[in-house]
Amino acid sequence: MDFLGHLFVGFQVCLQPANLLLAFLGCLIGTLVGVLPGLGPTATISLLLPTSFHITPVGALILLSGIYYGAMYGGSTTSILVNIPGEAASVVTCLDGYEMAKRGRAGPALGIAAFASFIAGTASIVGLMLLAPPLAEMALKFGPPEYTTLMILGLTVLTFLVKGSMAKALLMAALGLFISTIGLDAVSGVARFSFNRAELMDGIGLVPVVMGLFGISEVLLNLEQAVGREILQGKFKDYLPTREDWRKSALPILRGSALGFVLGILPGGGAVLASFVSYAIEKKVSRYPEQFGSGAIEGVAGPEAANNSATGGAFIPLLTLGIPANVVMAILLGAMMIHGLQPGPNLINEHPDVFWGVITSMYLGNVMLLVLNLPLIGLWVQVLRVPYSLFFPLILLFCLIGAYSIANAAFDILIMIVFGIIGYLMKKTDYEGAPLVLALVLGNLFENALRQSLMLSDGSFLIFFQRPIAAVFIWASIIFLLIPLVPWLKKKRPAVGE
Amino acid sequence: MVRSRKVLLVICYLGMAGFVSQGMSFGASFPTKSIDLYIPFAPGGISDTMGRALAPRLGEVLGQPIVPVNKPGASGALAVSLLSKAKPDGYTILIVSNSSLTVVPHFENLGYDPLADFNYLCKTYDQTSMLVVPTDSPWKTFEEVIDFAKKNPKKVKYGTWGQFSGVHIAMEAIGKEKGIEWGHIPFKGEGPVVPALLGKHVDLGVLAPGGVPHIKAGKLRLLLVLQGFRSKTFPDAPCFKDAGIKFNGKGSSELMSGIIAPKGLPSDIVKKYEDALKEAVKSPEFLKASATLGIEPQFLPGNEFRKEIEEGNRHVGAVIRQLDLKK
Repeated sequence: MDFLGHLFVGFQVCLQPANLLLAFLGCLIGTLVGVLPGLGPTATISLLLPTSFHITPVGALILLSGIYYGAMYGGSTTSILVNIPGEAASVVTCLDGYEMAKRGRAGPALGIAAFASFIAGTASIVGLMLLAPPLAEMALKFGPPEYTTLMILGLTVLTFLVKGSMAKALLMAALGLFISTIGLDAVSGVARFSFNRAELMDGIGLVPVVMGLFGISEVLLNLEQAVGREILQGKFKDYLPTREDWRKSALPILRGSALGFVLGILPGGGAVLASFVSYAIEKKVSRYPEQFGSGAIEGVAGPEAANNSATGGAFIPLLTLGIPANVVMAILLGAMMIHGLQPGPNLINEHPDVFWGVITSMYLGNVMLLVLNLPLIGLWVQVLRVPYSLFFPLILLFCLIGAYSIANAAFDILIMIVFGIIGYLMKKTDYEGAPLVLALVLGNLFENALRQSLMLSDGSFLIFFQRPIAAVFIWASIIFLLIPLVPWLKKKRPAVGE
Repeated sequence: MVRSRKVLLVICYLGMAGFVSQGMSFGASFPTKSIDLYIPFAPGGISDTMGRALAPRLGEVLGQPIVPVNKPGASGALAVSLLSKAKPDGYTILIVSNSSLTVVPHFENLGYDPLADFNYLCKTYDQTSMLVVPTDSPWKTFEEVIDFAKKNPKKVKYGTWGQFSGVHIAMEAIGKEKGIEWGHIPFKGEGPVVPALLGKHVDLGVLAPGGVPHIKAGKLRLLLVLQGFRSKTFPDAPCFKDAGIKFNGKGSSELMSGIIAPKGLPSDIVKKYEDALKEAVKSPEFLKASATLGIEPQFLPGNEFRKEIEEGNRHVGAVIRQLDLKK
């Protein structure tokens, strides 16, 4: 356990002035990108990839990673202030964060989000450092059956997100599942609902849908009705979370960190799923679940911790096995290969300076981000004062640019606008967007994993009960589904006994 | 009167701006503005890396910058479809993977005819697709796999990067030739195949460049390269000939890439490109990237590349009919 030695090597690398500057630059760009609705770390990292050729491999990784986890910090800002998620993983923060802002508590919401992100981010790096190889091995045990049952659990958990009518929410979830089927089916090779258009072959992308459903629709709604927003007129002190806030957020942050870390390691899991599940868990264990949806700070602390911790977790399969856990990691993998670094289990041996340099720079990055974000809270809160008539064209502009920047496709802009209109109609009729998004994220993954599992088992459904990890998830889902029946059964029994 | 004159002036300015932005070249020779190089996959992938490695020298020789533009989608076929609709003025080219031209058109009509709708400019490189197992798998050679599969039909499961991908077709053809039944598990892209192999969820897998680091690190064992000749990246690995396989991987498991442009390109521009590309593939950036990624550069002039693609397309069509693979 030569950790001090490793850390020493790492800090030697990341404290070099050039690398420090790159870390700061990455965090800054990442925060900006996260704050701006539409632009995401994926597009930004792709854009900066060519410029990274001119710097050292370590420097390039430090810069690009900084953008990634910086974006997770920034993503919550617009979610809280204007109900528009900066990132798909910040959708959940909109639910309670914006409500807090409406009640004049934007500062504490932003503060808790920043602190939760810092604590979770740091925790995930510690986890990465200490547990990387064994966790990576464990992640390998996740095959199609484990993913199937995990997705089932995720879909079950969806019901806890619901604020209003359950029937409406389930309808939206069904719609999300339907939309996820559009495109070329990975297993049968059949193109579904693609109308022979190449653009629809890959289905409807998550990011344009989220931006439309939550971003464009919010702008449309606000144009129609002036939304009263109380802006806190207090001192900087009032911008920070109170002791009470901290007391309430402590456990959610811990739970969110653990959850996010684990889900981040799994290829295909990630920050979006982690934030949704964290929200559901916090609502479930809370003593006053009815407050969720009207400004419960736990609903901000938990998911924010989860999505930041997931970014740390996502690095594990990349750095230890050379397997990318999500799209951003895949780009980083490409960056490593371009710079001549062979990703894989030997990276830690062949290039310990790179491995530990990147990890230690992540510590520094998290500190830099906290320092960057906290003072900015006052600034962001003031931004709310800008008349909406000046504000919304900018929001629309960034959404449009962001949608195009995903894949240089005008089609994504169209999707965003279509879902913007749908989202507007949904908001007017009290249909919730969160279940739709979660179902959209999970639908594809679930269906592919299910069919791959059945192909592996030659058609037997027992595979989900025979493999230990899968069995845990599926029994958990069954229990979750049956729990609500318990009070009903209890009520029935006296009647039966008579 | 004054107002309408101002309006007229503004309209003229706008008109001129629009005119100029089209890059009209009165008498100047090609190229007079930057050229878009469509890359059919997301950044960080092989096509992206190789395209970006080609761009600097190509731009130097042609005298205008080459701008890589990622247009991912439909496993690379979306970019091809978009290219077929682009203006044939020489300012839009694409670095294409052969499967979009030899395999995809047999299954989907995405609005382009792979042979008729494009000017073939050159071939750039080959990639070796490989059949691998985890290093601690009981099978040390390809023959052992076949033996096991003969005795246990439908038990062996192999993973590839897509249903009806070129390598899937090749594996089915090989299975039929050897008289075995093995089960295909399709994954979405090459990425998920590696953890599926390492986690022993599938017994065999087909990989291309994604497998190189893992083979070199000793985590995966290369059993067979899916082509009729030895690979330069792994010269000791058996090929079809060594394994007694008569199947020809042309168009399916033999992966190659090249540069194409929309049809109707004037012949002098085609010639300019061919000469420039011949230079560009010799550039140090291109060669260095090839070496790092396990790519085998090979330059073939446009018409020869077209012949390869034509042959591959025909061959794959025949195999599909033979195996009755239509969905």
